[in-house]
Amino acid sequence: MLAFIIRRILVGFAMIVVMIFVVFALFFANGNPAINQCGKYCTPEKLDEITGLLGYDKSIPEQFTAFSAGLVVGRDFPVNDEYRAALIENGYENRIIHCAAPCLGYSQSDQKTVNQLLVKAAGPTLSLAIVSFLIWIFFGVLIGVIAAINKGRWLDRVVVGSTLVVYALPVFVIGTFFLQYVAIKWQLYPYPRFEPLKEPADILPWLTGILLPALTLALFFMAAYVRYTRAFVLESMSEDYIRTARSKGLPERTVLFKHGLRSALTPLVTLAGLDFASLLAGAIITESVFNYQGMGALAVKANNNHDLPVLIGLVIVGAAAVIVMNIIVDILYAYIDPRVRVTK
Amino acid sequence: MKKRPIARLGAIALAGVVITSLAACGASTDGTSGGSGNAGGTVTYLGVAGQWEGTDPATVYYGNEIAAFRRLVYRGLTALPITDDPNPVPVADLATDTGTSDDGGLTWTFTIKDDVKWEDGSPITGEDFVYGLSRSFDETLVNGTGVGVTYLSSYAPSVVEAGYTGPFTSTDAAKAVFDEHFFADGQTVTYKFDNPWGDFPSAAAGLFTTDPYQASFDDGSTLWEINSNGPYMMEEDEFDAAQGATFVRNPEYDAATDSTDLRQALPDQFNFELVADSDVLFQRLVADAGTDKEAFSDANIPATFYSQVESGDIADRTLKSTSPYTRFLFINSLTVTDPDVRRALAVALNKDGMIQAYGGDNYGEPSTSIVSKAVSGFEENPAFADDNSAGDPEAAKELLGGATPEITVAYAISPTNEKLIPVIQQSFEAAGFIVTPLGIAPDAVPGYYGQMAAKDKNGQKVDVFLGGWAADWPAMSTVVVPILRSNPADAESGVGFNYGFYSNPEVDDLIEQGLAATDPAEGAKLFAQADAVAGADGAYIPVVQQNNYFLYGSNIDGFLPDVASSFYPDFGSIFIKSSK
Amino acid sequence: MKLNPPLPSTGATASTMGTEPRNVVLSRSPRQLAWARFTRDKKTVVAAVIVGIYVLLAIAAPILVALGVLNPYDNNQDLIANDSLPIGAFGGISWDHPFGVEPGLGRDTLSRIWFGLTFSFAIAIIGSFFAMLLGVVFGIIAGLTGGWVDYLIGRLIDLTLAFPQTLMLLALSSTVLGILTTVFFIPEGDLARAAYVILVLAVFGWVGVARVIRGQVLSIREREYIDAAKLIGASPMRRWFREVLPNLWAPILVQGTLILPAYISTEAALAYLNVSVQQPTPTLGNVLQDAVRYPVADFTYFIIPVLVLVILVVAFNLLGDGLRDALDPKGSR
Repeated sequence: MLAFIIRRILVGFAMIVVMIFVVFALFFANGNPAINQCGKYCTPEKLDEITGLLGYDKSIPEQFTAFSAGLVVGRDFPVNDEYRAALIENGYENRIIHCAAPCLGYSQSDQKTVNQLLVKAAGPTLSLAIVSFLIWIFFGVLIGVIAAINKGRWLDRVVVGSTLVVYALPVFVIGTFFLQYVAIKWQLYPYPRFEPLKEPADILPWLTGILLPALTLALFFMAAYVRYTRAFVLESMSEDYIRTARSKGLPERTVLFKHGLRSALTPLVTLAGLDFASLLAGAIITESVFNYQGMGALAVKANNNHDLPVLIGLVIVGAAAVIVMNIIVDILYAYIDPRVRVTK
Repeated sequence: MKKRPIARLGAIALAGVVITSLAACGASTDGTSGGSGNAGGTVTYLGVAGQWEGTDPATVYYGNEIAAFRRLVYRGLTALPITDDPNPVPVADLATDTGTSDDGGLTWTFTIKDDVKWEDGSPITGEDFVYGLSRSFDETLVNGTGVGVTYLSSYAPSVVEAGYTGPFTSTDAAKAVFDEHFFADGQTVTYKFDNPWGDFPSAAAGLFTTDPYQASFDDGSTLWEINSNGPYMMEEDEFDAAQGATFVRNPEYDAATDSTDLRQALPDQFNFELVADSDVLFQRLVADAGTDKEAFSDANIPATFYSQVESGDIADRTLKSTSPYTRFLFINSLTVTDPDVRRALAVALNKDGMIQAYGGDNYGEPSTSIVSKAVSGFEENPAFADDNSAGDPEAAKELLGGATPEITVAYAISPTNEKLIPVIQQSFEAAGFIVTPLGIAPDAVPGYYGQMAAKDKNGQKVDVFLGGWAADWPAMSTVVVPILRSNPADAESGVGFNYGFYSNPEVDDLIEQGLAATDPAEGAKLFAQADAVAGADGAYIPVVQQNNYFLYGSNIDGFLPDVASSFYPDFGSIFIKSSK
Repeated sequence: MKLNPPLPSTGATASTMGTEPRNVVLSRSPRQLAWARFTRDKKTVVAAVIVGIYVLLAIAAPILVALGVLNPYDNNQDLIANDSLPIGAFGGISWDHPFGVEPGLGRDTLSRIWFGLTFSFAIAIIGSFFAMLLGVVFGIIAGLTGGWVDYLIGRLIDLTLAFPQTLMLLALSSTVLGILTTVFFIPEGDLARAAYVILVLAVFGWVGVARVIRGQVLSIREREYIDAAKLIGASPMRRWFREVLPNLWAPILVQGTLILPAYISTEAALAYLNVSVQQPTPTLGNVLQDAVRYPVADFTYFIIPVLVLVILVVAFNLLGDGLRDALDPKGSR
């Protein structure tokens, strides 16, 4: 078991390294973030100067090495040595920004380290991910089980039919409807605004502010999880050991909750873990509909500003979250289901 | 996705142009300017998220942002008063007077008031002004805005040529040159320019380039910080470009050092609240519920709301006036060289259809010049005065004489522009042009105006492109000069806003005469003449004279879009009604 | 957030819930069986009819545009009031414009949606073709070879899934569009943008297909008749093409039917982020992108494209579900 865990972690680590390099190459192959600093009267000479000042004139491998080193030991910005020397000479050491390890870079257009920006954006994104995750898991599984129990009856049909419709509705349509009608036009719900959760007393405003966007995001996943749950429950209820349990004369309820659900919901752990992790890079559409300043909104802004360091930081954090979650889920799964260890 | 395709970088009014008249503006307001309003309460300013580019004075550049901060937190050497007078004159703000110059604008001297303070209680010194100005030279600091350098390089070129790049990185030699030009002695600040800057006090009022900055506050991450010297200060450490900020009373501010002509500062607090888009913003202002009763916005009411705001009580909360903004089509004079073809484009254009696509009557009316009606000395351009605003394809065909020129029309991709382009395309095609639209994506590198400014249009064929302009100052010179004066022969990108690379010696001559004119009315006449000559030559196609159309909450009073605030609502006069 | 994944199954339905009498298999061919199951399910048949109508509409649109019956590009600004909204109730619905007209320009909404259907279909079909192709090839290779090749493909799948997809496609759009136009000489504009969307769909979409196909190949490999073919000395190539491939058509068909509606939704999401084909060329996505600007001001204009999209996606998924149940009675996911 330990060997399995160690191997899994090593593979995950290798994947993160590969991923960082791929991202780096993809983004720097064709972009120069210095252009954003060059102003409205940008000339090629001026652009060259600023590019050098910001250290984007180095080759991709050189920049990658510097970036990787920054991940391990931190970096100082601006990266141009001469620029830094001039700052020190002129008595402006306080303008040199130290970015502690693991340093993901520096956003010139925001005058902040990427780490600072990500930490700031993490609040709304994490809140949105957690609340919508809870909504979709709770209601998704509940409704899925109800549908499975009532298989073939009208309740089941209504549920399965609704999941189809919800799945078909684009997130931005649901979000626009909630915002424009439910919150503003009909005033059924306070205008959703993110309130940071700093102390226990903030819970209520935080939850009030987050419910509509979280629901918008959750509905899509809920539709999928109702269907997963229904399928898994039906599948497990047809397994041989369930028949055995039934034939022992156990009541249907006991069979379902004692035996059926447990094995039915095991595969959901994998799915749920990965779906949750994929939200950590930010829900771009939901965040932009509701003006939530999370990772998704940061990505849109960085994209419009050609702020490559921020984009790279976002991709790395998002992908690393999924890879790490993958490992966690695999290990968890190996504990729950001993057969996995044999087949891996 | 920037929703402001309009550049505002006009030239500051040049020596001695005095405003004589201003049509339609500020006439229909219920605001007051006498300082008789009700004090207290919290006013909410509703804005659109993501449009602010910084709160460091070196980066602030758009009219509405300058308007807000000038009244709340950033006092300058001079400022323009709160007034519906279309011809306001700058008055002293942090300085004791509006500056003295004995040599016709080459050297300016200001004395800073003794008892003015930063929000940490330390006094504002002459050094702070010199330091603030020096920061305007740093390209990495100003975050690409570069407005200060643009002006300074035309009035103090020797500093820029010496390689001065701000206080942080300049060589000692460059610093010495800077120090020769700009220096302080106690509370006295001296500005020595290479070329006379007769209107320097107006520039100091209209831009933040010469504003003071406290060196001890400058720590390398000041983009979103505010170090106030005005009646309010920011409660948060940083302004949130997506959410906003809270401005509360600044205890170090002494109203005795200020004038109620500049700042009445009646509310106790201003909440800047930024929302996802203008639809959401106006939904809330229309609903007028809770604290939104004490809210206002400087955004224009979107077309989708016109039907809701035109009747009943809500109409009393709207204010419509002529805007200093006009929109027009640039013609690339380098590719469309035949004046008949250029005229044919102008004659063929269906401006009415474009205005309908923009949002209809409330959005604006067909224009006959690049100059806004809100600008002093405005005259209809005779070249366009008789054009049919719905387009006249037959007349255009006649001008073309059977030719079918291929025309590429460039635009920044946005929901609004995507509805304009079909109108432009169809009206040109009706006249026989073969039209190719060219959309520039919002994340293109360089951006839309960057590509259009380039002489080679970034390697693309561009013949006609969408543009807009607002006077920095309600004077003809701030429009005609940047758009119509010839670019230098070796310019690879348009200087000012002459992105069409229009060049006509006759127009240049009239512009030079206008700049040299001592009588302002005569100057305005000469600029109008230059505009007329360029129009007859087909330099551009005027499209729309925009309106400002504001909506505010039912408890808001003192709502006054004035010259000082670039026709955005003045933060200095706004207050909450006392009777509930 | 990920690109819209295909709709998950709800599991076996009543007719196929492990109660299928085994002896029936002996008396009818699998294909006949599948057809019988398919036609027995009324809602699947209805869905198939709706899908058929949609497909016919999408094919007919370019012809009708050429004939001038549909006018997706013509402005009718005489139908627009001074406030830029359509004149008349319900978004200006009239005999000439049964779905009303677009605010601002007065273009016929029916024509735009109908013609947009063609473009959306084209993008989704080509996108799913490439996603299926990649997925089937990688899935078969992984399933057949096993060992380190299988392992590498597995890690490649993990890596692809790890990337935040919406963010990637947003951030890479200008770079990749540049490459498409300069390196592959795809003309700038709609074509390049469509190609980018197709590329995105294929690059991120093949993963799911590969997993399903790999699973199928693994299970087929274990079946007796493959061993039999091996025994009688059939060459490996022959075994792959004669024995394995024919058994994959059912999962391929099912996957294709489920991926297509997911990609039509994805195109809509991409259009919302300004990545897809731009106006004036209509797609369901960019018509919808415009419509969500008017949810309150012009509800008709807002709701009609939503309904068109929802009906389309629901019908396709019902059909895919039905096919899955009919072709794959064990209800493998």
